[in-house]
Amino acid sequence: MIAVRHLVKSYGRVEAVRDLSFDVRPGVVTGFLGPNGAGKSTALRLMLGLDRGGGTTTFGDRPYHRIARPLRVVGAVLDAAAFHPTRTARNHLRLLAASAAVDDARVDDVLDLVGLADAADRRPGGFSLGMGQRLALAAALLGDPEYLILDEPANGLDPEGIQWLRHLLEHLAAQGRCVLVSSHLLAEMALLAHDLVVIGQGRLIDAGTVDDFVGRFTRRVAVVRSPQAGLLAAVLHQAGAGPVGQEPDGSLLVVDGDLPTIGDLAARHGIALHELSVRTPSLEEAFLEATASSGQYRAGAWA
Amino acid sequence: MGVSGAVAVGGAGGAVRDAVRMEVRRLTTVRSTAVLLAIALLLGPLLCLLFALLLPVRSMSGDDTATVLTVGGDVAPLSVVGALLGVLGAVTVSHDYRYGLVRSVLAAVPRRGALMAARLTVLGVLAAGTATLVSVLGAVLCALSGRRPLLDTATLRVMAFQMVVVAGWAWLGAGLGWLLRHAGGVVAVLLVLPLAVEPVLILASQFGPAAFLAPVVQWLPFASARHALGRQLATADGTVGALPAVGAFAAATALVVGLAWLRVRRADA
Repeated sequence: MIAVRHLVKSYGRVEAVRDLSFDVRPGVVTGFLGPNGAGKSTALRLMLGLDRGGGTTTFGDRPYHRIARPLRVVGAVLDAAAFHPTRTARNHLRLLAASAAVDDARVDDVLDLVGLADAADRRPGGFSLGMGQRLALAAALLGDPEYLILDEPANGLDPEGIQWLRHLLEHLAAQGRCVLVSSHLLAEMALLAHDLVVIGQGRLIDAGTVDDFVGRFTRRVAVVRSPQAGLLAAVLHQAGAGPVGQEPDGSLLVVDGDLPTIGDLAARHGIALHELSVRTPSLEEAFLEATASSGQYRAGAWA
Repeated sequence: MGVSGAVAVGGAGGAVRDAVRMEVRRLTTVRSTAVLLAIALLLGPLLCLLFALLLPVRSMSGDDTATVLTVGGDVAPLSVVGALLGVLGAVTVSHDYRYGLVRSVLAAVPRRGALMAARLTVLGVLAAGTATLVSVLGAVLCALSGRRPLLDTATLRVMAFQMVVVAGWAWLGAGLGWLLRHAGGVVAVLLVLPLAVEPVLILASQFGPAAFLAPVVQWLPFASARHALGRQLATADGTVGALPAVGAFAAATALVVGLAWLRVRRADA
């Protein structure tokens, strides 16, 4: 398990990370979410001792700086473009492998694993963002680590690459590894992550499973379509259901509406129903609700 | 892939050994190293030969030999080989920051002191080896051209100090690289100090208003590097001998590296 305790980091008077604590369980992928400027990347760097701040992070029972040959224990992707542009992909990995006494044969293995075998002897200065991301991922996997910390690993990947990454991370987690992934791709995170850590303005907003998070920050909405929508709305209101809203197409939206109750009410009043369904709240809706007051950078209204 | 067990090996010594392996690969897998070393190993011996051929007599004195085999290091304000290795030190460090490699490298070797020690060790060995090779190739070229160098004990000691001075240049470049994080800035400092600042101070110290500088200017870092390549270990006339001069240059280098260590230890990657 990765145990993060009381991380703090300030830049002058700006508190980037404030008393941040959470756990990352083995065997599942944990998503690390937050609006722009929430402190996600700073927190990841603090966990690895790259930035100077307060708090502790232990991998198993050891802080990062106490781990000998850390690439064999913790793999990290922090920046997709962190390579010398004229050093070949293979040599980039070989120099990192040397720091952890990892066999050179492993370099070719991970290049093959991330789909860069054909580009092994190319200079990464000419790589696309997606190829750079794959090279960074190869570096993270070099030591076959038990813990993976990935900052926006899907950036620059095409849809096929994103799908490949999802399968890879699911596979790695299924082997019992701890996988912490920060991402802005909420739809992708909904498919990938089992657990979530959500932060805003450097503070923990929520931590737990995706289902619990969505349940906590959204409300179940029943969708009802009827040719007698006005009458049905009045009946629902009278019965205390709701609040009840209406979509432009005339459908009624009943917040926290219970489907059997709505169906029974309609039947009792002889109201025909054309649709009675539940709109499943999305991770995006939950995220926007959870971080509504935490966004640091918001665009102005347009149109 | 299977889940690996955490591998706990070595302490600080193990970390330095691992980091040395990484640094060797880092230096040998990038073009700038090869280019700078090639320039040093081509230009250095050719300049040795040129200096030798400019001598009016065919038999070289000990002073001539020291000047020729240090590529003018004991008389010129700038050591050609030293400056090239200084640039190598600067580029090696500042490219980490320029290309964002510093985080990958520190993630691989989180003990920052071990990383610095490894990098300075590898740079020092490379610089000393290059300095030796330049002198040896220069001596061979001189001998082949009929100018026989005088390789007495004092000259061999100058060669040894040349290794120290060139290694010092490489460490200065690396130390300034950690402090400034920008290769251009480091190269500017490495050129402007010996070519402009120090000569102006030395010149000024010879005139009335700035005469108080006279006892100080002979200990300036690059002036000391120059004195260190003289054949006199110590002098009785008040001028700086080679031994105290090499000490002064080493102290200046240690100061820069020490400041760099403070910065690297405390700064965010």
